[in-house]
Amino acid sequence: MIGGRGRVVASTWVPGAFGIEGFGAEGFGVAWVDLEDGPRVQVLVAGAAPAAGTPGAVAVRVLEGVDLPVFSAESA
Amino acid sequence: MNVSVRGVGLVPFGTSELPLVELGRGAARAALADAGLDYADVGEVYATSSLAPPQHALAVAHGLGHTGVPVTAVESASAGGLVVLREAAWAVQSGRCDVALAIGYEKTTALTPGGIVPKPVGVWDYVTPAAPYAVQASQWIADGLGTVDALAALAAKNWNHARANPDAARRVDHEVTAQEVLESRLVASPLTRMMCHASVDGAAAVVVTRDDAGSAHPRLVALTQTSLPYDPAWPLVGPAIGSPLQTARTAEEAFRGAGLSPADIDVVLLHDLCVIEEAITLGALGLVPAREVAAMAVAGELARGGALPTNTDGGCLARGHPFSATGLAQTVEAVRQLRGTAGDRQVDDARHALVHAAGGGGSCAVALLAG
Repeated sequence: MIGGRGRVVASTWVPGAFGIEGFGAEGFGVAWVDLEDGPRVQVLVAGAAPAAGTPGAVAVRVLEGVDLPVFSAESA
Repeated sequence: MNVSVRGVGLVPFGTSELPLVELGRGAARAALADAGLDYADVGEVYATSSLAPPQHALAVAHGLGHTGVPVTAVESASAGGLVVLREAAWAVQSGRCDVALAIGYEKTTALTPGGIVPKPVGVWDYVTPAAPYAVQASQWIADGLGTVDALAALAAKNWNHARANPDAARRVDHEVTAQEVLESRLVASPLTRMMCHASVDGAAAVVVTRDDAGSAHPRLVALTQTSLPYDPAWPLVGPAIGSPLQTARTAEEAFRGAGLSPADIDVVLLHDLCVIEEAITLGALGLVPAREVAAMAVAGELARGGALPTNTDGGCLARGHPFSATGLAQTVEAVRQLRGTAGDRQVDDARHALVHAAGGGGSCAVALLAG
């Protein structure tokens, strides 16, 4: 299971609803993040797609029995 | 490798009412007729589908005849077509049989449009397969390799190639412009619907034979296949394909095996689930310097009549992408180009073709053909 601090490499915004209730009802982001202590990972982003270089953390949320790796940007 | 590609055939791509096995049989019959052979001449059959139920290959083959020959089913996602062609080629190259048949067939129109799995299991099954490509596109643009306008020009080129392909699924009645591509529905920024593959039903088949001296048939001179090598810069998840590093290694092995170089290639058929894959793969295959792809796309140099025509049949974007059938459909187009029978799509003096397929989970194959 992935998690930890890292920086966004690149991202996209998907305007459709995510298929699981409780996440991304009005669209969501997908990003590649280089973890400080691990490889490059693909993660979901709640809200707007973050710019390259944005620092933050990846944590796993479980919804409807599915593991969602979600990136949250560090607040300034 | 030195194997003759004696016959090719396909069932036009689109939405089909035919059962899946009939699609496969239709393509096989077309390829055998093109080869001037009967099913009784075939020594081995290799068949592929990503979504088919169990025993599909035997069902397809038994509908062609009960000759008792070995029938082998393969699943390798969107690389399946080239994977079965490789197995068929080695069946004749090794002397196991004189004639082998490779068939690929798929019905994807029952899936969510643009989707690639019948039922979500893991998290990435809930996300459009365009999303990782859109991330790559964002990175490609941020790295200064090109613009969204260049991607739109590249996609428009494939839509316009498909206009001359009667077997293509997406054929429009007007010249497609980059602006039209940009104005289509956003799928995942910066990719729009016209930059993403068409979900279609379809089938394709290829008949290979041992190469006889003086044969007039196009020859398969290399076909390499890899799984994803270690690549820490590539976050392979869910049904996504492998990395540009994998593509490069697969192509290098093919060129080495055939004694050819990228400069020898006259026409390219490559996997483009989304348009960015074409842009990045052209560089990974060694065909175009990565920093020149965008300029070539905008200048029309990747269109028929340009310096290096790519996806002359419309590619996954406009020919359509029935997963396991795609690699064989690309081979059908390559053979038609090498024979000089591609009609309005014909590339002048096409002598060498490259076919590239990439499958979800990290499978890649590259075929080189000579006319």
